[in-house]
Parts: sequence; structure tokens; C-alpha cells
Amino acid sequence: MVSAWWRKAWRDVLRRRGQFAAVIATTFLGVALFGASYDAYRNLLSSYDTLFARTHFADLTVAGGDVGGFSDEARTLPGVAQVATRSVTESYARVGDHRFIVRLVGMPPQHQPAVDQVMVLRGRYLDPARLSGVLVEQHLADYYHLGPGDTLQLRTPFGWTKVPILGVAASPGYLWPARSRQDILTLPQDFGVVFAPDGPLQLLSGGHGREAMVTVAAGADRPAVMTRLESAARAHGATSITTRADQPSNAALHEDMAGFGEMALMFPILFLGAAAFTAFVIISRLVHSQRSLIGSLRANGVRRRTILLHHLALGVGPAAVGGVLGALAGEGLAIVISRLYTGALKIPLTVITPHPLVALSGVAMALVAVAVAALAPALDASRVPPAEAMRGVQPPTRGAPSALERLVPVLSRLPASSKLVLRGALRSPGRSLTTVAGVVLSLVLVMVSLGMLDTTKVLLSRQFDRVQRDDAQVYLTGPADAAMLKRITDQTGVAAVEPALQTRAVVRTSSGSYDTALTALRPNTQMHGFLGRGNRTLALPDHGVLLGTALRRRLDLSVGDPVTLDLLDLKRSLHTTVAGFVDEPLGTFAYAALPVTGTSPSGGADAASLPPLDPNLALVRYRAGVDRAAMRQRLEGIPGVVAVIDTHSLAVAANRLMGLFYVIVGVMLVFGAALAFALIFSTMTVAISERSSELANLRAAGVRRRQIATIVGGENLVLVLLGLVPGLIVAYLTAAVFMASFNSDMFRFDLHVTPLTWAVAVAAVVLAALASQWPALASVDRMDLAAAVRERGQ
Amino acid sequence: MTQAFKDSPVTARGAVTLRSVSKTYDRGAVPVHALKQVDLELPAGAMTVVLGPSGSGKTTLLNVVGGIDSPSQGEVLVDGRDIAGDDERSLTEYRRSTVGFVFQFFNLVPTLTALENVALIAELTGHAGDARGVLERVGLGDRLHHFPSALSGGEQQRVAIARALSKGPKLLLCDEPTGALDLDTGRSVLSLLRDLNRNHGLSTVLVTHNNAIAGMADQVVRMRSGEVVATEAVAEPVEAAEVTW
Repeated sequence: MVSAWWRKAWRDVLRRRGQFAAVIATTFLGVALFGASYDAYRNLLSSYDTLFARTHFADLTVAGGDVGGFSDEARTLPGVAQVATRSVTESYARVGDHRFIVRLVGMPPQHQPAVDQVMVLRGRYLDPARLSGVLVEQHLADYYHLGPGDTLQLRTPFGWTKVPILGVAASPGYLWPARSRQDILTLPQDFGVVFAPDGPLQLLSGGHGREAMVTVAAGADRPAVMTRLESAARAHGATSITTRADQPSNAALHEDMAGFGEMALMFPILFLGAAAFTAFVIISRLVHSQRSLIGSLRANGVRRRTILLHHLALGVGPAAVGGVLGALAGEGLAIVISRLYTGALKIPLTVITPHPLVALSGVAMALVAVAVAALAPALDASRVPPAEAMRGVQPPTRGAPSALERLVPVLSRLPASSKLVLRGALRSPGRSLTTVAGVVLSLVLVMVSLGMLDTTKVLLSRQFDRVQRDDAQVYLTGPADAAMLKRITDQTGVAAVEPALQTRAVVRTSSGSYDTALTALRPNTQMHGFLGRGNRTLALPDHGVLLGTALRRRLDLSVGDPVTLDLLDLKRSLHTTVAGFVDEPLGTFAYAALPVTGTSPSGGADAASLPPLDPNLALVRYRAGVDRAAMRQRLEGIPGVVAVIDTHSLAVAANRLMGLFYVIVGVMLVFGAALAFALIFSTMTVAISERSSELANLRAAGVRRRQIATIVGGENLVLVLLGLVPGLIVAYLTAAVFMASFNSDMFRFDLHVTPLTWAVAVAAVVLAALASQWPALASVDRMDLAAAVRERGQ
Repeated sequence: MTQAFKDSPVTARGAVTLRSVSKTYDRGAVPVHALKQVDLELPAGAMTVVLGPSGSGKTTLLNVVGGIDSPSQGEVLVDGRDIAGDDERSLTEYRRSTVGFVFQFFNLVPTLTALENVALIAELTGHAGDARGVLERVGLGDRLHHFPSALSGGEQQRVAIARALSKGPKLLLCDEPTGALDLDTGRSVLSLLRDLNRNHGLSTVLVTHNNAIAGMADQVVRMRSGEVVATEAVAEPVEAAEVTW
């Protein structure tokens, strides 16, 4: 048989079921979203780790210098598990009429390499009996609907060569098929990866583009091994040393995944904070209304501890219910999110592991948050003096002009009904704070999501309207000389053409080095905008280079510092100075003015300059209104043009992805509104029950329902408005910190918030606040006047 | 009973007639018959004290007359108009224009001063009353700007009375107005109510369990178990100062 004491608790909860339901709901959401995001994060990490282990993904990749010598030395180093070498080169490919840049990755045809293996998804691995056969990376295969038995054409020194496709594969280095750290957002129509037998590829590339890949043995002292390997690589003249963390695909995936980690932190703070505030208000009111009862219990010898634990349980009980349900929901949601995510990114392996500790942590957080909040009113209950409570003496609500009236004396001239609203809003500091907290927390949720949307839109606009001003990049078999430029200019629909040089470059200083790309343009180029800090427009200098702003900190550089650019594919080194820093949303590049000369890589800064390098690219701007697909075909038909990349295809694709963003933002808006609703609903309900005799008296005196609703709603609105200003400030700062957490050399997410977003955020929260008062106001309509007027006022 | 009371017609201001009024509450399985076929006349301008023990129905009677509650059966005529069948909106308007309530626990708004508490009702019910004047009339001219927490029980009750008067009601309904007060304070409040009744002809109904208060009324109605068991006119009402309990 359930004790009467616990029966009382249960009935206390039932009588206030709406309010306690708010505690359960907010706790549920906090724990569910924590579990879902953290578990998804862990599942994704496990999926990647399992895939990387299975495919022996390289811990270190070294390129340039004496790759063979480095490999030999690496094999002798303690802690090294495997070493492999391969050729990697870029060329062009053709599927039907479509041409694109292709990266050719060498693989031994007899068996998988010791490092960086692939997962064959369809068809078979390479065949030593068919050395022309290749594997196509899955993103490329899916876009062009390629499979075993199909063919594609590769640009070789012998022209376009048809090669058979033996299979479709997934590679740990191209789960996110980025061309480089600077070209993270590439489209399969513009760039793809093909795995080819290493021997023929080595011949095709003339022995260039060799890489060594190394894995560290399990249990080895990883940092020490890595240090030794990097040191050995430098000793052998390596120009590029890339750890697994810095590998473009892996880095992009982890940046993307970081969002889950952020959410796993943000959601419990918001929702469990709301649950705590709500519990505090409800239990405070309960204690207040039951002081006489508590006093009589104490007078009859019930211990303080019993009273304390009872009232703590009133908070912890609902939190436990919400927490357990949330933990279960979170586990389920995590599975769904993990599968959706890996499916969307075509990760070939999804590892789903239950994380009971995560679920338990979520429940524990909920219990602790609500217990801490319930502690104050529970202690208050345990300290109710028996004699005072037995006399029914309630601590009187002290009256005073509101803080606003004291600050703005003219407000004292307001009519009594307006003063009632002002003073009523601030009459209970705990409740006022809870309502304001609801507004603040909701605004944070809404602003972070809407801010993300605005920032992404601005990023895309900045990148594709102000930075990249060309419409197409035309790749050539020969230099972009005057004759070639004229052939392009003569095409219908072409508005302007400029030559450019684009090549891989390693920026080297005494502080370190950074793999990027150098783009050299005409000094007065119209094809690229150079934006400095604060949207300042920079000019391309005649001497020196402009560098991406991330290098300021990475390489400890300032304007005027000497810097060397090793142009790996062109066998040049450029000894120059930093002329300025550009603030670009995507990538960290180097820019210089044509012509580019440079010295031999073995020469120093004082070595004689070599003849200028030929531009290898033409940048084209179309006339307004042209058919871009037709232009691409027209340009590809020009002799000497091997591929055309539409610069804006990426912008188009990114804008299409925004559709998914809107869904996420919509969900966040709903959550934010629900948060505001739950908190304000609770405080309003409590406020009205506390003032039932006061409000009943007004009704008895003939004050109309609508007038009561206006008074009570007005008090609520005052609190909401009071919460708006600090809420918007906190929300903006939180959104800024959130966006900045994604900043790296690959992306710059400087928060932008449009005026419309401010308005939408405010409107969403105000509307939720207004909606949340209706249940409470309906209870005023249903009030038993006869009973309420006989209650002691408070 | 005063001559004025004897001569006042039933249809004068603030005259109330109850005819076969019953009120039943459904409290789960057992209905509660709070009023049973009550027939009663409350003359205009008189002070009527309704006496009875706890559960006798006296408060229910007050609530029905005051329009806070509706009878299950019967007629409630106030100056000839039956309010028994009025809907919620009509009852609100009735209370707004006709009735002033005074309760045992004052029910003042704690965040407003005495002056503001009185002004509030006047504002909200559309009566352009003189809040200051009303408070001076009840003897609180020097406590206008005090909040309820700084007022004694008696002073708070005076504010409640002033608040009820600010609307210019025809009927003043008081539910245990001295229930929360000591003897001296209670007497002063009763004295105020009597003055208002006598000097301004304000029909007053005062519900109490305190037999001693009956002596100061013009008419005493005794209730038990939801029924009126006796209605007496008081030949020579005593002064409030002489009431003792």
C-alpha cells in the first residue's frame, strides 16, 4: 500500500499537472537532444574509426623530396606499422560530353596496398591482367551513373584514352571528396577520383607526384613516432607533410561533426535550465500555499528532513520521468540521425553502439539540475515555523513602487490599473526571473539557428558575388597565350577573358609551412575581389603576395614579412614578402600578380630569377542571361580547351542545400517557441493561482474578464519585453561564439544577422509567450469566485 | 427597526426579494443542498444581518444575491429585476453597477497603495469616483499612500469598504467583515458600516456567525442547513460600540 505521504505528493502533482508536465517536457527535450547529438557524434566517430582501421588509413602522408628515401627510413623507425608509396596526379576525364578534373591515385593492381586501402562497393578490385582497368570513387560513379563494365575517358599524353571501369570504391581519403583543403566544396561534376594501377600511372606522370603513406602501430607512442617521421620527412626534402587530422576529407568531416558536439552541449543547458527554473517556481508556489499544512505536520513531530526530501522529490520525480523518457528517445534518435548522416554522405560503414553511460549522464544531468533548483523551496518548506504556519499567518507581500517607477518618476502618474501591471510583473523576483530566463533561452535557440542561416547566405554571397567574380575556369592543354584568349573571347556569350596561373603551393616561413594554392592574376583583374578585414577592398599588389588571413596566426605572419612559396608542380620557388591578408569565406589561398617568375627550388632567395611562368588557365565572365550549360559546351569545343569548370555551379548546389538548412531552422524555431511556452506557461499559471483571491475580488467587483486578461497578460508582456533586450544580447553573443567555433583555415563563419532575423526571433518568442498565457487566462474564466473570494490573500 | 426601514417599499433602490431560491452543488456522488427553497425580503436601505453556523448557507445566500453564484432554482429580484437566469456577462455588469463586496480577508492588491486600490476599481468599472474622498469618508485620509502591508487589519478593511463604495453601489454585501479583526477594530468597522447604511441609505447585508452583531441590524435572518428558520425585525438596533463578543 502506497503511503499517504506519497499519495499526497502524487495528488499535488496531479492538481498541477499542466505545470509539472512542463517540467517533464523540458527535461525530456533536454535529455533526448543531448543523447541524440552526443550519441550520434560518438557513432560517427566510431564509424570513421572503424572504417579507417579497416582500410589502414594513413596517419601521415608525405609528398615531395626523396619519397623513396623517406619510405626506406620510415620502415626502420620503431612504432611504424606500415609504409606504402604511390603516385598521385591530376588530369582531366570525360564522361559523354562532360569533362572534369580527375585525380588519379595509384594502387598496386595485384592486391590492396598496405596503407590507404579502398572498400570495393560494386564490381572488383584492380586486375593485374587488365592494367588499363580502373576503380571509380563512389561520388563520381553515382553522379555519372557509372558502374562495372562502363568506361570513361582520361586525358593522357596520347590524347583522350578510354579506360574500362572494373569497380566502384569508397576510400577513407575521399569520404568527403575534397580536392584540397582549399577546395573543400567541390562538386562531382567538376572533380572526381579514379584509382588506377600505380605502375602505368607512374609512367604517365613521369615519376612526379609520388607520395609515401605511413601508419603508426597500435600501442606505440604516437606523438613520438609522428615527430620522428616528420623530422625524417623534412630531412628527405618533403614539401608536404599531412597528418590524418589535416587530411582534407577527414578535416572536413570532423568540422561537420563538431556541430553535433556543440549541440550536445547547448541543448541540455537550454532545456534543463528551463526545467530547473520551472521546477523552482512550481515548488515555491506549492510550499507557499501549503504553509499551514506544513506547519501542522511540523507541530506533530514530522522531521525537517522528511519535509525537505518530500519537496525535493516533487521536482526530482518529474525530472526522472522526463529524463528516462528522454534518454530512451535520445538513443532512438541517435540511431536515426547516425544512419541519415552516413547515408547522406555515403559513408560505407555505420557503426551504431548503444552508449548507456551517455543515457545515464543525461538522466543524471536532469536530476541534478532540477534538484538544485528545487532545493531552495524545499529548504524553505523544511524551515516553516510550526506556530506561524498554524496561525495561518502568511508572510505579507511587501508593497512598493516598482523599480521602473523609481527609475522613471513620471511613471507614478500612471493610472492604478497600469501600475498594477508594472508592479505585478516584478512582484515575485523568482517568477520574474524565470519568465525572463524563458525568453532569453528561447532567443538563444532561435538566434543560433537563424544566425547560422543568415551567416551561410552571406558567406555564399560574399564568396560568389564579391570574391569569385569569374563565371568559368577554362583548363587548357597549353598556355593561356594571346591566341587562346582570343579564341575564347570570340565565343558568343563571353564578356571578358583573363589569363591566370593556378598551381599548388607550399607557403614556407621559419614558423612552419602550409599547403595551399597560388593564383596569379592580372594586376587590375576584374575576375577576383580581394577583401580585407572589415570588408575593405584590397588591390592585387605588383610585388608580394596576398595570403589568407588564417596564415596570420598559423605562420605568425605580418605584412612585410618574407615568405617562400614552393610551386611544387612547376618546380619553382617564389621568394617574396607578405603584401596583405584577405578575408575570404572559403579556403586560405595565396594571390600574386602576373607574371610569376621565381627561382629554382634548390636556389635561395638570392638565386637568379627564371623566365616567367606561362598562365595555365583562362578565367571567363559571361554576358548576362546566357545559358551556362551551353556556354560550357561551347568553350569545351574550342581546340586546346580540356575542361571548363562553372564557378557558380557550386553556388547553385550550395543554395540547394539551403533547403535542408531551412528544415533545421524550422525545427529550432519550434523548439525555441516550445521552450518559451513551457516556462512562461508555468510562471503564468503559478502567478494566477497565487493571486486567485485578488483576481476573484476584482471579478466580484464587476471587473470584466477581458480586463483581467489584459492586466495579467500585460504583466506577462512586461516581463517578456524586459527579457528581450538581454535575451537578444545573450543570443547574439552565443550565436557568434557558436559560429566562430567552426572557423578554420577552410571556412570563416563570421556571424551575420539580418534585421529580419532579429524581428523573426522577437516575434517567435513574443507569440509563444502570448500563446502560453491562454491556458492560465482560461483558468481565470473558470475560477470559482465564491471559493476564491474566501481565500486569504497573499 | 427604524421607521424608514418599515416604510421603504420593496421596489426602492437596493431592495432584494428571493422567491423559492435553491442552490445545489454537485460534489462527487453526494449533492450538497446549500440553499433550500429560500423566501426572503431584504428591504432597501436596511441593514440585514444573516446569522448562522458554518454550513448554514449564509455565504451562499450572499453569493447568490451578489451575482457571484447563480441559484439552481427560484427568483432573485433586485429592484424588481430577476437576476437568477442571467449569464456570466450580465452578472458581471450587475456586480459592476449594483453591488459592492467586503470580504473577511480584505483581498486588497498588495502592490498598490490604499489610494490606488480604491482608484483601481473605479477605473476598471468605469466609475469616475473620488478615491481620495471615499477614503477620507472611511477615516483613512492620512493613510492614502500606505501599502496594505503597512496598514492594520482594521485599516485594510476600511480600504476594502472604500473600494466597494467607490463604485456607488446600491447594495453593500459583507461576508464576515470582522472575522479577521479584534473586538475594538471590529467595532470600528461595524460602526463605519452602520454609518454608511444610516446616513447614505445604503442597503447592507452582513453575513456572520457572530450572534452579537445581530443586535445592531434592522433585520436579522437566521439560517440553518440551507433554510431560513427565522426573520426578525429589530425594534431598537444598538450602536456598534455596544456590540461585544
